[in-house]
Amino acid sequence: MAGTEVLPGTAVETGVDADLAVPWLVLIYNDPVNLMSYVAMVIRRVFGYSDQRSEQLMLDVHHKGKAVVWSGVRERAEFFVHQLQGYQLLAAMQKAGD
Amino acid sequence: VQLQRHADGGFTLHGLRQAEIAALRMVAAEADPSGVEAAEFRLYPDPVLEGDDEGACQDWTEFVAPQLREAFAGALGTMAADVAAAAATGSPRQFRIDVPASHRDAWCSALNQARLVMHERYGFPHSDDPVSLIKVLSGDHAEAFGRSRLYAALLEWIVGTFR
Repeated sequence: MAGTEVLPGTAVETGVDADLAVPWLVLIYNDPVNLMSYVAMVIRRVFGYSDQRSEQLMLDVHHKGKAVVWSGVRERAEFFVHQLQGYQLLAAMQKAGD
Repeated sequence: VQLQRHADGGFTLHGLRQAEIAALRMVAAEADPSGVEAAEFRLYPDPVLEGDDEGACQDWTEFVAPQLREAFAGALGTMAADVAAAAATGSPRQFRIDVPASHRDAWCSALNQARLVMHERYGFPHSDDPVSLIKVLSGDHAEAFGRSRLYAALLEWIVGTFR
């Protein structure tokens, strides 16, 4: 594989884009209508977490109003939010630190 | 009403009366959020609820929300077809509905959509305190509240039985 030729005068940007390095959080917000058993089932299905972890996250959502259920790159966060909303959970994403 | 789990993941509702069949037939109509802004937002929320990401929200509305609408409509249609195929057995509690395993998620989705929209549309109480219950049961939406409770009980049974 040939090396990349850099033309004279071309600005070369190196290093990791700091913005891309910041993880995104997937949050589930409490809502008073969705059944607790249903929320735990959805968390288990979407993320493949254990029964115990799914139940604990559901309880965190219930008692604290919201819970971070996953963090990572933005594209995966979007995928998971889409999945969760597909089960009618009140889910959204947020850049860590915002 | 009796609920029977099958080994293959499907289930059967036995002993349904005409009233319960009618309630189940209303799921699709009750799940329609048209005209109720809060219900529309509840079913199709933005992807960012804290902070500001207008671009992401616009993309979501354009690309993701239509997919959700299609999936939700599909689930409602699947459940409606199962209810429409309810079989009469000849007794007073004469109806039976057979739900194959492949339709189970559609039933959960349809029942849940209806519950979410009904709570927004009718302003049902979120707790079972006696004052709230008496108020709703003596109000204009008592029958809708009963349907909502039926949907919740059925959803709870499905989730608990097939976990």
